[in-house]
Amino acid sequence: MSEFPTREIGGVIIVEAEGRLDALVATPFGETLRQALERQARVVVDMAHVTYISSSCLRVLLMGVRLARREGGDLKLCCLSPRVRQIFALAGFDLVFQLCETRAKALASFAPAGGPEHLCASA
Amino acid sequence: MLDHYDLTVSSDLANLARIADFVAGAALQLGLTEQQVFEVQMATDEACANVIQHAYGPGVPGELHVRCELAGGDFVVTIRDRGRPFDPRQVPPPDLTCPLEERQIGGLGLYFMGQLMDRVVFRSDPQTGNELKMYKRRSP
Repeated sequence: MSEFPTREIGGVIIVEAEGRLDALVATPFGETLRQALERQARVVVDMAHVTYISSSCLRVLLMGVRLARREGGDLKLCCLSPRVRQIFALAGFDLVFQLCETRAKALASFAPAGGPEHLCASA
Repeated sequence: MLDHYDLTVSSDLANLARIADFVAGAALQLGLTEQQVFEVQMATDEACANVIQHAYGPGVPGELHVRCELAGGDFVVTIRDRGRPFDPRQVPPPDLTCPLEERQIGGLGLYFMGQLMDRVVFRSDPQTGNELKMYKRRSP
């Protein structure tokens, strides 16, 4: 299983996740996030094409957000489908992560270097 | 319409997607709503991932048998394997309210199964192996 595509926009790395984020992809997903966070502590995971997420990939995200915040950044998510959002709520992860409606809102919520952080408009 | 649906797959995480499709098909045939299908599918995915990763473990060959059927008013998923026995009492439930830094990393899959299904019953027998039954009441 290969890793997920990433791109950098204005000092923020976007990870484009897709498909079923189940136990099979937890290792490559974790490796993608680890490499992204090594380059940049500000990461957005775009979930637009994710149909499902299991506890194993939720754990990967939890480790990612801890690492990002420890480094003074954050790991945010955008474009969750209603089903995926439901899973986040079930796990209480909607209280841990900033879930943004769109990629643009997620990017805009990261402050320019040195400026204050702010929340993305609540989805 | 069949009254039960069976699937046997090898212990490989690559089979999780196939199991999810199988359970969704059976659950729809047996009259569950879209929301219930999603919940049953997710509980089964967590249960089968546990079997593959923990009961058998990486690289250990084995089989999982998944059966979907109606019993009384319930939709029932039964998962059988011959891996290591599992005692759910050894897994503490996650505390979903504690601060991020203290969040426990484990226990979430089992928690999902309990939340998504109406009843979850584990049984281990040295002769016949492990059996997990998960029950979902059908909407009236």
